[in-house]
Amino acid sequence: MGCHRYVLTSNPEITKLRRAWDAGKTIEWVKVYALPQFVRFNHGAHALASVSCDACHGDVGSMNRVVRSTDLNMGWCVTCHRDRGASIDCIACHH
Amino acid sequence: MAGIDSIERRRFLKVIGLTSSAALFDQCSPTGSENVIPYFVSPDDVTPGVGAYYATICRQCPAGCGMVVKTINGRITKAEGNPKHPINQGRLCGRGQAAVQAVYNPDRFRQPLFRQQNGTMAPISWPDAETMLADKLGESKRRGPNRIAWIGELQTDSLDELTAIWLHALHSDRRLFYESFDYEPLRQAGAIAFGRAEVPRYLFDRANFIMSFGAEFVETWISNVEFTAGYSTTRQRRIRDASGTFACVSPRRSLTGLNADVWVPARPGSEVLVALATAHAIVDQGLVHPSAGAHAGWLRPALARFAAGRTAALTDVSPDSIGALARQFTAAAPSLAIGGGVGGTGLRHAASLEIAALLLNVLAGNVGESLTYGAGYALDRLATRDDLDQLIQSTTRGDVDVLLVHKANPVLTLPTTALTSALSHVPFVVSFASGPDETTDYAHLILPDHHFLEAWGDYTPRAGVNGVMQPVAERLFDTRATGDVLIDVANQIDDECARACGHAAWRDYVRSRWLGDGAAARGGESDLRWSETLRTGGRFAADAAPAPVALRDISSTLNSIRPDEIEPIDGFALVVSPSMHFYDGRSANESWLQEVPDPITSTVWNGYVALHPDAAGRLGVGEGDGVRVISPYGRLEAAAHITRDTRADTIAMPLGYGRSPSLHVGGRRGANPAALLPPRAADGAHACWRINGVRLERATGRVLLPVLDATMTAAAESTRQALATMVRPDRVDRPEAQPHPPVDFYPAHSHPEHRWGMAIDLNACTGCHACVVACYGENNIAVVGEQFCAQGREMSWIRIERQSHAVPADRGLQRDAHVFMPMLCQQCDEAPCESVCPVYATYHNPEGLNAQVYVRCIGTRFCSNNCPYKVRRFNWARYGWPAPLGEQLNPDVTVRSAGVMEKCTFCVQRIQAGKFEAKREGRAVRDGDITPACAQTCPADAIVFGDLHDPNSRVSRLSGAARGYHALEELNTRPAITYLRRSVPGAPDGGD
Repeated sequence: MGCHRYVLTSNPEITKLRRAWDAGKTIEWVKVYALPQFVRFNHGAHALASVSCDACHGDVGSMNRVVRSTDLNMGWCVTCHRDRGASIDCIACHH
Repeated sequence: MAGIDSIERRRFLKVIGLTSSAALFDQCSPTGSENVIPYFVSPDDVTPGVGAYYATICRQCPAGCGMVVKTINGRITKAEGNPKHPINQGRLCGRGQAAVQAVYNPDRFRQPLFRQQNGTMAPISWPDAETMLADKLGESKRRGPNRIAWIGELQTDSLDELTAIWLHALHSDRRLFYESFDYEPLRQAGAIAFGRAEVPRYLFDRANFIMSFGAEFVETWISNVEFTAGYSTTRQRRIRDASGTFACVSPRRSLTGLNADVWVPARPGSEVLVALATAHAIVDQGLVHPSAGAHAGWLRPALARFAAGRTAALTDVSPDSIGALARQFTAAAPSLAIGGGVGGTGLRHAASLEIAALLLNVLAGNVGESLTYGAGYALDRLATRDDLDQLIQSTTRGDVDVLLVHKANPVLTLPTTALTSALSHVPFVVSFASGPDETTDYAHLILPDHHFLEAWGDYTPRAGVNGVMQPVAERLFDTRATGDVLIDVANQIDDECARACGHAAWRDYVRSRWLGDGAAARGGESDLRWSETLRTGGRFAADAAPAPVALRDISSTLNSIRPDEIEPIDGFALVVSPSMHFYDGRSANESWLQEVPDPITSTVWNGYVALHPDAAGRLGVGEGDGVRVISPYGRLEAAAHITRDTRADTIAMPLGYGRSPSLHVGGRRGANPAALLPPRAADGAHACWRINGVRLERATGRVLLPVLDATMTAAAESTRQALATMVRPDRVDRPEAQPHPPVDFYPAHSHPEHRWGMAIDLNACTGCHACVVACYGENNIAVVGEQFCAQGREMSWIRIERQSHAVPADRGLQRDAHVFMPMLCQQCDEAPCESVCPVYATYHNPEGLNAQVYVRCIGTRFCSNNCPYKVRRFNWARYGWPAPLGEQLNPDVTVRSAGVMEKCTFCVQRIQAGKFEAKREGRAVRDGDITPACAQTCPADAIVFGDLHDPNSRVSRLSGAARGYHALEELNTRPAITYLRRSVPGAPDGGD
């Protein structure tokens, strides 16, 4: 709890956050970008290849509420892999 | 490896780390919602989804190997050997690999328990339990000295010191470290021969020829990982030697015995005569090493009675064989003679056999070379049977009020009603076991200790190898370190106890003992030293110089051995042997070890009586038939397993079966052969693992005894003999002509960057199955249970084929060779499986792997049908993991569902991780960066993995070796796995 001690303190969502912190409880966040269990995704490999965050996550900075900006299906992944000359070996992600 | 200093920083959530509350399985589209629970305060050394590694010590047996344990999100997923640890140098056996299953064992105690008036156990809080214990102890202390007794797992360092201080403050010195295998005959022999009552150090790698009288050094004996590595080094060094590396004298071949180049099936109980006849032959033929020349004077008359010509009728070993052994043993100096181990400890002459083996070492000049004294083994501190008997007697007399049992289970292997009735006599029995066992049945109060992977501690298996233990994950249940319990209780009893034990938390006690400064010392240099120690896994000194020893005049001992005292067999001789997988039975509740086949028999999930076909024929029993085994001390029923690994007058039973029904995996399986044994030897106060005069009867019914190798027999009987092959030592470097020049219909695959390959050295492989267990741990392989195994539906990705080759006998010495061949997906270049998959679920990837995409597989099983190696496994059902066993699953590997084919992919997740790491560091992948789980753990270093494109990689060099070949080469599948033939002295010309 850094900024939100001072910013938007009366906002109901921020109040939830502060209450959880004071009570020493963690918040169960709803995952926006969930991948199925049979897909292995390594953020590091993508960062290393200079894929910008917004390529997958969209312009989070301008979102009021974070939404998924792509449908994350395999065709979408493979298109990008192909365009960038990354591996399109099935087993790279499915193992 | 990160060191952890204070556990508070790693205080994980109840759910152990970052987890998702929604079920992930069966989720086929990315549209489902799930929740993530982050850490409330993020621990410093945990990155979600990324493995953190902690060094600790394996306590699955007293060998004390170093471990590095991988945790992901606070869950323990995989154990590996600590490369810095001098004992195991990065390798682990199957039992060590299965330690992670013991942590997540569903049977573990969840909280302290006490026995109610009606005899059942009920939960109790820790403060109440400790108060109850303190009251009992205080009361007992006031009644007089030595009314409190401790039987515990072998301890050194911190817990050794604390328990000694603690008991002393309670005015008691009754403390025993109990192990089923206590090496007492070996310690007695050292005392008689050299005046040193200790376990010597065996340096297998320095020996050129090994002669064993039954010791199970590949399996369980003293330090099996270290010994396997040393033996394998010697085997590889002597690969071109026509005399072979290893002769085994024993009525029955254990896994170790199966590795021998020569088997001498001596009559049970007569091994001591074989050893002394060999000693006599050495003296008689003037082969004595100059260093032992001084002993010839008194030895010649003392050994005269044991001349091979005189003893042959008692031993069934011809003078010719003895002469050959004597010459081999002395010609290859330094050689190494090893005594009877556990399964060779009989009713009589067990210590004499060890003395005879030591004498052989003296005569060949091995002492100080391949066998040294002064190693300072922790095993030297184990309780003797005399110690135990004294405790049992005073307990039965009512002299003990409180008996504390710490992680020891004497009821399992001490075959005596004296012990159980003594336990019933103790008014208050306290157990610190972390799960139910045979001894906890007698406990009035159970104060569950952490599993060793959750605990602080230390263990020094031999002098100079000081290992430290740290918790690799937060404790799973409401358990408490026994050190903390002892300190707390001491502070409740009286001032004397409180002063003696202090007030430190157990963690600080261990730390301050290691650092040699006060428990309060914190910060700066002290913290740095501590985290460095934890990172290394301990403090390891260079080997100390061996103690100089000289053989004493043992003629009176030799004179006391009367050949006519060799026990008559009278029916059958029973050999009770340690189990590779279960040790003395302690690991029987770990399901991987039940499902991974017994290395000797390929049986799973049940115990057996191994008997010779001749004996089976006389009794009219077939494989799996029920047999009643009757000894003078007890009777039981077990399944018959018919084998030529025993003499016709000898039967063998492994330990580990007949465990308590309270164990959900290992309980109610087979029978415990310890019930057939006498309480102690006839001529000495030590344990006895053999008994003569055993009768066998055909019992009604059959027992389900799945034999996994049988599925292979049916499938490919004609090709079996050709799979695991051998070569004569003088032909090791001679390449064989290609029998079939390859003709290809399809164009060759291109492998632009890497071509992953493997070399498996059959000359090194001992068949220990550590690789198979490691594969289960790494790849989330399901345990299917005995019924499915019996139907041939096991899921193991590696199968160890045991193949026997007839080799002509030489001077009466049996030379039949047993070759163990790890059979896994061969990652063929021209893979028969790929071309028949209708949905492209299996395909050749650009790096030479036969990839298997589980999510694409529709389960036609065409691929498995077309695979000549039979290494593909089909999920006939959804198997699941009983909670909390699923916590161990490796998140980097998909959990397969029903209807899906699966198989080995050279641990593709490790290949991916290795490539990513190299990329992150901006370099190419180096040889050795990537190691599949099987190769990583192999104690014999038989499996080597790497890039075949790199001409300098280890795997490339081995794959090009003259003795290399491909399995079923004539099928032109072009496997990426090259097997290296086993060197077998006397093998027929042209290999097999």
